[in-house]
Amino acid sequence: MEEADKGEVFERNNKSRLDSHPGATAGTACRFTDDLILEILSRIPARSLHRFKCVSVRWRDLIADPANRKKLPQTLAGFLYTTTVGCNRHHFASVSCGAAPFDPSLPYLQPGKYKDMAQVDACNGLLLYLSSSKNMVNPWAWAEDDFRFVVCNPATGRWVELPPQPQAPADRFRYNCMAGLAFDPAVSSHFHVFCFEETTVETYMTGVNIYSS
Amino acid sequence: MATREAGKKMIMLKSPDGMEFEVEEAVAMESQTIRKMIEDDCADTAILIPNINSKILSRVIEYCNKHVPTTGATGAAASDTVAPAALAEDLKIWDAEFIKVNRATRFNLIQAASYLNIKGLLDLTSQTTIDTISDNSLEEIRSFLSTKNDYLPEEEQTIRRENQWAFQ
Repeated sequence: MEEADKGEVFERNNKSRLDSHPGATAGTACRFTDDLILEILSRIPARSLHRFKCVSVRWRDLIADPANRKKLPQTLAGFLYTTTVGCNRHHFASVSCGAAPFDPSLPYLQPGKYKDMAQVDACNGLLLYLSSSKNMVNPWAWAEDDFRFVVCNPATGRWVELPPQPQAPADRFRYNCMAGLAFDPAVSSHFHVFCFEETTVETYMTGVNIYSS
Repeated sequence: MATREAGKKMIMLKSPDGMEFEVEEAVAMESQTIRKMIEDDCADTAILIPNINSKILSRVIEYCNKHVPTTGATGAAASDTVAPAALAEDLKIWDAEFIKVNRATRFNLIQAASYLNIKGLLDLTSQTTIDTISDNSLEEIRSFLSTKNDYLPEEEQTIRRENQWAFQ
C-alpha cells in the first residue's frame, strides 16, 4: 500500500487517485466520461473553471491535468504594456471591450513600495518585474539604486520580492537585464526566475542565476 | 436497407430498443460517426446505434433534420428565397425551443451528440448546461450534475484558498 501511494505521485491518469480516494463512489462519478466533462468544461469562462476545481477531486484532476490544457479556455482578455515618461506606467489594453481583470498599475506595489517597476516577463498568470528603490539624493546615479526582482500574481494581489542576486550585475545591465520567469501551475505551485549574466566587454553571457521559490 | 425514395438515398438507423428510423443519407451524415461508416461502406444494412434509446435518437434525428444544409444537388434550396441571416436566426430560435427539455434528457442528448459526433448538437447541449450552472454555487453544481464532493475537509479548505480569487 505504501508503494502504491508513492506511485500515485507520478501517475498522470487520475483514475487511480480517484479510486483510492475515500469519498469516491463509482455510481455518482461514472455518469459522464472524462471526455464529456471536458467537453462541457471547455465552454465555461476561465474564472468559473478555477472555481469548478473545488467541485470534486475528479474535476480538479481533470482541470489541472496538463494533457487537458489545450481543451480548456484560455481566453485572451488583453495585453499589458508600459509607457515610459520619467518612470514606467503600466496599462492594460482590452481585446474584448471588458474591464481589466486587475489594476495594471499594481497599486499595492507602486509607488508606495517601489519607485519604478519595469515589466520583464509574464508566465501563466504570474508577472516578473524589475523594481528599483531610487536613491533620492542622487536620482540619476543608477549604480546606487537598489534593484530587485519582484514576482506577483495580479489576480490575487500576492507578491514576493526576490533576494538580491549573488553578484550585482554590471551598471550598464542593471536596467536592461536578460531575465525570464518559468511557472506552470499544473505542474507545481513554485516558480523559477532566470537571470543571465553578461560581461561589459562583449555581449556574451557568462553565467545564469536561478531563483526557485 | 439502403433504399431510394424520391431520388434521395435513405439510411436505416436502429436503436437498441428495437425501433427503426429511416432517414435521408444527408441527414444521417450530420453525424460524423455515421458519415464515416457510410463513407467506409459499412452502412449497407441498418446501422445499429448502441446506447442511445429510441426517444433520444428520435430527438437527435429531429435536430439533424432541421440542421441539414438546405442547399444541395437535389431539392429546392431554401436559402434561395430566405436570407442566410434570417435562416440562422430562425435556427437559433428553433434550437432554443429544442433544448427546453428536462435534465436527464439533456444529459442523454450530450452523450448521444458526443458518440455520434454532431458538433452543433454537442455545442448546443453543453453550452446550455454551462449557462445553467456557471453562476451556481458549488453545492448546486454538484447536485445538478450528480457529482459527489469527495474532498477531505482539509483538502477542500486548501483548494478553496488556492482559488479564492475565482469566487470573487
